[in-house]
Amino acid sequence: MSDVWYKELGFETNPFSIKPNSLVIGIDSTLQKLKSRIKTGGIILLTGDYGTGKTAILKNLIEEFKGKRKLIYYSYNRKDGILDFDKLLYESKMLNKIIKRKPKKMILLLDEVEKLNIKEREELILNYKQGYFKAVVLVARNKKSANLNTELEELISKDYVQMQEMTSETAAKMIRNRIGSVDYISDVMIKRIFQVRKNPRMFLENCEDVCRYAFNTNSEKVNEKHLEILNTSSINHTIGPWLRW
Amino acid sequence: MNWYNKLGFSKDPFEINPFVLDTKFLKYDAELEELVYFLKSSAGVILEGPDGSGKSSTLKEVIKILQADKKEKYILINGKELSLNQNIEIKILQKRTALQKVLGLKPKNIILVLDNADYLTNENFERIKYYYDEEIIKSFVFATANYHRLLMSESLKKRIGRRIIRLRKPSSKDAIIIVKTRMDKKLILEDRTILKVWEYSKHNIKMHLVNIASLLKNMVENDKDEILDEELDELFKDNFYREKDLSKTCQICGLKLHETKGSWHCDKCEHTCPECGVSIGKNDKICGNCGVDFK
Repeated sequence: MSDVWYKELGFETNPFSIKPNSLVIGIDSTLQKLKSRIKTGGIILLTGDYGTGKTAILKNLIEEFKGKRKLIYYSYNRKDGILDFDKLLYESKMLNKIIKRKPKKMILLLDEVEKLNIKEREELILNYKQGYFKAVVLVARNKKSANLNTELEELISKDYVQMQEMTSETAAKMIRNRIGSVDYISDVMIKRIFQVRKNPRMFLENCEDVCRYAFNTNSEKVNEKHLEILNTSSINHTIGPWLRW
Repeated sequence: MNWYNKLGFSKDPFEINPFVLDTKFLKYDAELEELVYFLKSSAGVILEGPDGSGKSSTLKEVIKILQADKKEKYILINGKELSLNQNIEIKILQKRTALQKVLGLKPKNIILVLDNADYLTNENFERIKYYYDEEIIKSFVFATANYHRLLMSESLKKRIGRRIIRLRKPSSKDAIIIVKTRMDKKLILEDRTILKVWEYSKHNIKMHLVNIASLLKNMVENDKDEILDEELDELFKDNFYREKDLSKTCQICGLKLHETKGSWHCDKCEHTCPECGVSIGKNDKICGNCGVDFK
């Protein structure tokens, strides 16, 4: 296998990995807004398109609040049957699990709430009104897809937080934060790549493809010409199957 | 003694499961390199290709490379072997170390190699997404005949992005080479005969291999060194492969499969192109394989 570009540039792992990173750059004002609303209490709806950093925000909130043992995180994509809020509360603390008592004033982060059903919505509101949840952050792609009922909509009417759009300045800052002072790619080129696709996840993917292409074509630095790789819609290779048998 | 023993083989040289028969890669190829790069770089990737295009063989080579790299931990799952209600988390958690089991921890940075992803439920795809975000899964590859048919959410597709590696459909030249390669120097079939079997097999490489094996078995059992066209036509009236597969049932719903243009499909769970028989998406307007416009 040929040399991997990022290792040659001194990175142990891919610096443009699209995995949600707990280090948030460019979405810090949304994060601050959420933190202050969680402290005040209430039901908050966080919305944002795919790849805009919702999961990264949640990871940061987990880091912030987990030490106080007051936080429950649940992602709906793991749901197996109906979500049992009582069980979630019991299992949040060892002692409560043993004595079967629900702790009060917990913070609940509920990711991918699109699949929340009627019964679950009712249970959630009930637990919130009884004080078991001090703050609830519901995460969805948009307000419509969150599939809320009237009561939930009323409860979150003021606490609606939308992911902010990234600017080219914050995009460059995000990449700098990942690659440090490595000058293989300049801020100007980072901003040029950002102009192609502004969605943070797609932007990272594009940065990786451009740097890899530049490296594999033995270029000393990323330049305008390397952006041509972004015109391909997929990595579409063909190979003779006889090579495999 | 089996027919292949009589020809000097210890195993059936036309075994269609690359994980059973140790077939060889003759050359290191670009797709494999690309795939290994993505898996080591924490990406999610699709390996797409029609039946018999070499997806399982490619995965097998990926496994060999991962095995050689002591830093990487991987798990190979065959989607066909997961029942409809089985939670894929249970399989992934089997990769926990003894210490992780004792401490109730989850494994970290596992590379998931998933063959026959077509059989996975939406719930299991969502679990994979969650594990990927949580860094329990470092990277993944889903091998499928048709990416657009997978029951995965838009958000998982966005995580895959452009990382789609496509393998092409085998040609008639490939059909001859694969038979010659597998038979080594013991070949008793002419190219013309192999091509005829290829036609009978509706250009499906797996069916081709089974039919060639059945033909050779018939020749060995009847002490024949060659086969005439008329004899071949007669034999293929009772297509060997189809006979074998008539008892096949869908792994998802349990219904009996039917044959469309040389491939086996489930009417309830699958949509197939009426022209070439490959699996297609429910809302596809054009066949991704042969290009037929369904309108």
